[in-house]
Amino acid sequence: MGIHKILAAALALSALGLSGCTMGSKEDKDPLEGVNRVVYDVNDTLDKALIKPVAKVYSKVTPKGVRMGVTNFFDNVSYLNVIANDLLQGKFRQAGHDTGRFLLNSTVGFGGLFDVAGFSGMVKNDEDFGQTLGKWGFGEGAYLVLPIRGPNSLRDAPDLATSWLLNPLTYVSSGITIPLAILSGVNERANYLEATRIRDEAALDPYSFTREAYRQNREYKIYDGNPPNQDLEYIEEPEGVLKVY
Amino acid sequence: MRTIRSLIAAAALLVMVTGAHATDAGDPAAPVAKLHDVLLDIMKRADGLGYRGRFSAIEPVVSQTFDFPAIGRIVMGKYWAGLAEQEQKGFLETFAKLSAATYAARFDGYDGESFRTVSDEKQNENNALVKTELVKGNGETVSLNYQLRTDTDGKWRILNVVADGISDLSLKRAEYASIMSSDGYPALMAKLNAKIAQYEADGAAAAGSGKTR
Repeated sequence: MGIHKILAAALALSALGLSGCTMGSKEDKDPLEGVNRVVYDVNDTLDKALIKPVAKVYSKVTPKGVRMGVTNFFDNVSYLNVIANDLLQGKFRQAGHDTGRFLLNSTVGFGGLFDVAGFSGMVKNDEDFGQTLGKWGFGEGAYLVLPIRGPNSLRDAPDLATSWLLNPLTYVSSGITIPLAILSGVNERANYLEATRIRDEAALDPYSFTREAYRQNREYKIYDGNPPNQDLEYIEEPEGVLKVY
Repeated sequence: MRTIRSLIAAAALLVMVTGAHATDAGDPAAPVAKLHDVLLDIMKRADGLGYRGRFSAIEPVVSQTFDFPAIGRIVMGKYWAGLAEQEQKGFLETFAKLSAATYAARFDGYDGESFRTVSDEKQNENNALVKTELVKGNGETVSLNYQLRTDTDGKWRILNVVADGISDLSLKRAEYASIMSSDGYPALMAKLNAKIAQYEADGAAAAGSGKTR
């Protein structure tokens, strides 16, 4: 099956889901909250019991340089998805830059273990298919909490397919891919240990905290760091309610 | 030549005399700078001050530079109007205390950080956006955008902090709305107070073990 068909199917799927949600108010973007909270709790339990402790041990026993190399490697193999989405968003110069970055790191950087490009001052871009859909005008759609992966949305879910298809590791035998996927997951969790510690310390309701942070971060990325509606953020309403946008 | 020099001296004197006043009322960047100054100060003296000392240093500055009455209405959204006056007052006091406690807990050591103002623009008579960056010791930056508005007394006060695109008030609003709708006001207050108590306990534990994070 061609990539075309999968993309078309993904688009159709997201269009279906999104059309129903764009009409809802800004407050009501979590129609699946009941299910989401259940998955969130399962994820949280699994994280506390297994993933986080493993990530803690991992970050204790591996030198920082090794973790950096692992992070670089997985970032580099996922970079084809960035380049494809540069193109889909019409960012042709950035696509050229990112192709150069990928080639440089894949060769001189020993298959991506070293971020040589970053070291020589080449900006690393962050694009994915969810951002592309956002750029194309799709609303975020219902918020989703996926098993193990966590926060997502109808608009971002199709990226699971594109990033999987565009990752060279997908085409290597599963005997290699599966251990690598586990390493990638543990390494990523280790990178977020500090961030989740701060969240656990600050959040009163971790579920809604995570959801809101996810949404805003996505918005921020879609607009490459300059979301338009964050300039003037509140209006005074007649009954004295101030609203932030 | 002499006249120019004395003119400059006079102008400088004028700036010195009026500077304090001007920064108070006219410049939206002033409260942000004031907040950043005290944050840097508590970071640099973190160990000597301890959590309690940091809290006492930051608390008056936070209450002067943030517009808590407006913030209360924003974070409580549709629930604000339904609260009794006493409940609103109680919420604002606790919220302000939690804000100071969060700064005191988070800014607990110095590692070469600095703050940089990127831009400072008035969007209209009553609203301004001050863009700043926290530059870490290793050169990484976190963008910190402050939204300000003029209070009834005409002074600029901070409404919201947006860190790397994530709006503090929107996060809190989502959380508080969720707690208000499922458990109500007493539960929200209990959770806010529990956070403050947690920061105090962690601060005391850090002091007891002779180190900060």
